Amino acid sequence: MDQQAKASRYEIYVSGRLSERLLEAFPELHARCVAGVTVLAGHLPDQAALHGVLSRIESLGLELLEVRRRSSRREPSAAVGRSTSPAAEDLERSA
Amino acid sequence: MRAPERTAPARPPSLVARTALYELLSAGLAGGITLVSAPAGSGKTILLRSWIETAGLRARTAWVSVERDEHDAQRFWLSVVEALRGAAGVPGPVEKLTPTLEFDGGAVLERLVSGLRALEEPVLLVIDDLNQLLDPDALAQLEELLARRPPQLRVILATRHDPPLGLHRYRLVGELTEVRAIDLRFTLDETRELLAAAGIGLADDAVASLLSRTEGWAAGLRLAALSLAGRAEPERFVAEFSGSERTVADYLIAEVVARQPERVRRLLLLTSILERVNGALADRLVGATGSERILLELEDANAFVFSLDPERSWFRYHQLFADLLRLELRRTEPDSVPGLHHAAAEWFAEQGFVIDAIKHAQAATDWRLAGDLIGQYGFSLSLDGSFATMRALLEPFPADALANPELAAFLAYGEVIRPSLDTAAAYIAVAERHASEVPAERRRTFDAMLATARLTLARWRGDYGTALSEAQPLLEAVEADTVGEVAAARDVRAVGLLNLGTVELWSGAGDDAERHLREGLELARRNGRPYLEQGCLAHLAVAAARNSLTAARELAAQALEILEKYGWMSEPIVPVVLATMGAADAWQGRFDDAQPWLDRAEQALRPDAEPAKELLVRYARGIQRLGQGRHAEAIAAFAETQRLQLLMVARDPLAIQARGLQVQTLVRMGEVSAARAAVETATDDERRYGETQAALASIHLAERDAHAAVEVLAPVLSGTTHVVRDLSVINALLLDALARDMLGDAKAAEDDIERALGLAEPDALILPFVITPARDLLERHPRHRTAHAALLATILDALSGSRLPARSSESPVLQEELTESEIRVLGYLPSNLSAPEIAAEIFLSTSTVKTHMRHIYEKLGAHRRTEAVERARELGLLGPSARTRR
Repeated sequence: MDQQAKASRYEIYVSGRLSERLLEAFPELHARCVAGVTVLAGHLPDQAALHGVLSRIESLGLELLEVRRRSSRREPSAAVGRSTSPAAEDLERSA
Repeated sequence: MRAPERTAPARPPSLVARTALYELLSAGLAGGITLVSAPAGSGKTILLRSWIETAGLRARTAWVSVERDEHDAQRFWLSVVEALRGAAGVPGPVEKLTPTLEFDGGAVLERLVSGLRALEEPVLLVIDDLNQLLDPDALAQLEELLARRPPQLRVILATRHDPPLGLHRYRLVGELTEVRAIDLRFTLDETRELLAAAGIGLADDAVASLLSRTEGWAAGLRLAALSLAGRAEPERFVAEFSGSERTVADYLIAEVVARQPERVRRLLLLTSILERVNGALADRLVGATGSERILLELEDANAFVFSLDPERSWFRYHQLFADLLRLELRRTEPDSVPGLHHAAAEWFAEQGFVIDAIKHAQAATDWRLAGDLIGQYGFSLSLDGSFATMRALLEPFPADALANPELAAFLAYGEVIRPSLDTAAAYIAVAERHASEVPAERRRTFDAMLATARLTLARWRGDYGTALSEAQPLLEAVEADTVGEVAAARDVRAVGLLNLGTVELWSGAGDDAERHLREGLELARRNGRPYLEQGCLAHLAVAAARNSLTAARELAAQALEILEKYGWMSEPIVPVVLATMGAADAWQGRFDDAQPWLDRAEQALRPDAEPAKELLVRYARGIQRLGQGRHAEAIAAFAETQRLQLLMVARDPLAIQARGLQVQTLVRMGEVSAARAAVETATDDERRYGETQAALASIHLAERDAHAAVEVLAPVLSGTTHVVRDLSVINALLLDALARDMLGDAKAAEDDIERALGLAEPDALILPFVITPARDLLERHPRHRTAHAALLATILDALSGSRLPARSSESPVLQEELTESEIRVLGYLPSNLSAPEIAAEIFLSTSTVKTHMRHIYEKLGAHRRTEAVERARELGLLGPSARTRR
C-alpha cells in the first residue's frame, strides 16, 4: 500500500473543551474549540495512527462524537492567519 | 519484597449500594457470561467488587486484572489459572500451571476445562481491564474457554469496549447478561446517597445539576464529592462546574489535586509515571520520606488510590486519574520525566522486579540499562514464562541499542534454538566485540551465557568438536552480588550445563555428560526449574544406560513424572525418555512390558525429530524385537538406525551397536552372506569397536571357523578393544564360549559363561543371553558350581518362552522382618546348594534349615526358590543389589 495515498488529514470531534493538560496527549494534532466541542485536526500517516488517537481518546474517558477524513490536499484550516502552534491557540481560547 | 498478587483487596470501596445493579449481576450468574462494557471511570471495578462482597462471593471468586498492554498469552493464563486455583481450592482439580519456554495454549485450555469440570461448587471468574489484553492468541483462547465452559464456571468480563470474543452468539440465545454505560449511570437517588455518605449537604436542584453535568458518570460524581468535601459554598462550586465547558474528568481532577497539600500534589504528580507504587518507591522519586502514609490516607479518603494487596503496601491509581496526572506532569515539568523513569528503573532493578525495571528504563530511553537488564535476566524470565513479554519489550529497541554485549549474548541463544543460526552468529559476534564493556561483577555470567550460545550454535551446525571446546566458562562457579543476581546466574549456568551435557552425550563423551548433567540438575532443583530438571534427568538417563539399565530406568521415570505433571508431553525429549524405559525393560528380559513404552515412544516422535533421538527409539525397538524372537522386525529397526546415522555428522555409538546386533541377527536367521555384506559397510573406525568384532565372530562361527572367532574375540575379552557398552562383553563371552565348545574345550566355555553371568548379575541383564544362540550351552552349565543360579534359572525361563514376572512398580515392603537365622539361610539360596548341604555349611539340622526356608518363602511371598531370591534382591536383603537406590 502506498503510504502517501493513505496519509490523510483528519478531523476528530470530541465533546467538551480540552484543557492544555489533555491536549498534551495529542501532540500531533491541532485543536480548536467551538461551542463545547473540540476538534482535533491534523495529518495522520495511516490507519494505525488514527486508531492510536482514538485509543487515547477512549483511555481518557472522552466522548467521541465524529471522525472525518479530508482529502490529502491541504485544505484551508480555520487557523489560517493566526498563530500556528496548537498550544498558543488554546491559550487564546482558554479564559 | 514480594510483588503484589492480583487478588481483590480487602476493602470494598463503594459508598453507595447500587442494589438494582447488584440484582442484575446476581441474576446474570445463572446464564454464565456477563459483560460489563463501559468507558473509563464508569464504575465497573467498584461495582463488581462491592457486589462480590455484598453477595458473599469473595471466597469463590477468581479475580484477574489484565496488565497494561498485555501481549503475553502465557502470563495472562498464568494469572487466570492461579486465581482460579485460589477460588477452587488447593489442593483441587484445577492444576497448577507452570511456565514453559514454548506456550501451548491448547493444552493449557484442555487441562483447565477438565479441572473445572471436576469442581463440586461453582466458581466465578472476573476478568477486569479485558481491553488491555492485546495478544490475539490469548483472545482466541479465551473465546474457546467461553465456548467450552462447564456449568461450574461463571464468567464476568469487564472492559472499556466490546471484546472480539464472539459474544453476539450468547446474546442471541439469551446466555449473555450485559451491563452497559447507560446501566451504570448514577440515578438521582444514588447521587443523593453518594453525597450524603460523603457528608455533603447540597440543595436538590444543585444535586440535579451535578447529575446532569456529569451525565451520571460515576468517576465524575466521585470526583465531585471529593471536590465538594469541606467546601464552604458547595452550591457555588456546582454552578461554576456546570457552567464550564471543560471535560468533567479534567476539571474535577484538577480541582481535587489543587486542594491537596503541596507534598501530596508533588507525590501524585511524580508517581503518576508508575503503573503501581509503594511507599519506598515513592520516597525515592519524591526525594523525601512519608509517602506510605500519604498513600494510605489517600486510599482511606476514597481518592482514586487503591491498594493491591491485603497488607496495603502496594497501590495503584485509577487509570484515568493517573493518565491526567501524567499529562499534567508532561505539561509542567517535561524535563523531569526521563529522570523519574530512570530512578524508578533503578529502584525496581534493585528490588528484583525486572520487567518493571525494563519498562521504565525504556521509558527513560536508557537503552543501555534496558538492554543490560534483559541480558542479565533473560534466561530467568524465559524460565518464568515471560518470554513473550520480553519479546514485546525488545520491539522498540533502536538498532544501535542492540550493540549491548549481555543483551546480544542472550538474544544469540534465543536465535539458535529457533533455529536462526546466521542471526545467532551475528549476535555472538556483537557480544564478543563489546565483551570488554561488561562490568567485572557480571563478567563470569556473561561468559557463561556466551559459551552456551556458542556451544549450542556449534551443536546445531553438527560441529560437536567446536561445541565441546566452548565448555570452559560453564565450569566456573556462580558468583554474584545480590540474591537476585545469584539466582539469575544459576539459571544461566543450568541452561548452559544442560546444553553442554547434551552435546557431550550425543558425541559419545558419556562420563563428562553425566558429570555436567548432574551439576545442571542440582542447579535446576535449587532454582526450582522443573523444565530444566526434566531435561537433565532425561539426558542423564541416556548417559546412565551405558552402565546400568536399572539406574537409567529410574532416571527416565523421574523425568517422565515431571513431563507428565506439567503437561510437557510434546517436548522433543519425550520419545527418548519413553524409549529408554522400554530399552531397560528389554535388556532385563521384560520384552512384553517394554511394548507400551516403545509404542508410545514411536507415537511421540515428531516428523522433524533430531536423528539421534529417532535412532535411540529405533534401536530400542530393535532390541525388544530381538528378545521376542521377531528377527525380521528387529533387522528392519536396526536398518533404520543405520540410515539415520548417515544423516548425522557425529558418530552415534548406538548405531555401531545396532549394526553389530543386526549382523548377528542375520546370522541367526541363516542369512550369512547378507550378514557379511552388512559388516562390510562398517568403516575402519567402526571396526575398532568390540561390537563389530563380535559380529564378525558370529559370522565365523556360522562358517564353523572357531579359531577365527576366538582370535577376533580375544582383544574384546581382554579389554583391549573398546566397546560401546559394557554389556556387549557379555555377548562376546557367549560367542567365545560357543567357539571354545566347538573346539572341545568345555572348561573354557564354562569359564566364559560363568564370567558372562557375573557381568550380567548386577543389572539383571537377560537379553544378551537371548541374542546369542547359546541356549544349549546354558542348559549344560553346571548349576551346582555356579554362583549365579538364580540368574541362570531366570535366563532359561526366558529362553523357554515363559514371561518374566512384571516389575513391581512400588518399592516392595517386607511385612514381617526375617530373623537373623533366616537371613543366614537366605544367603545360601542363590547358590543352589540343597537343604542338607546348607545345613552342613552352617551347622544346623536339615529340618531346621527347611523350616527357615519355609518361613523365608512365606515372608517374601514366594513359592519357589528363584522367586525368593528375586524378591530378596528387590528388598536389598541380598547383594549386590540389582537396583540403585536414590
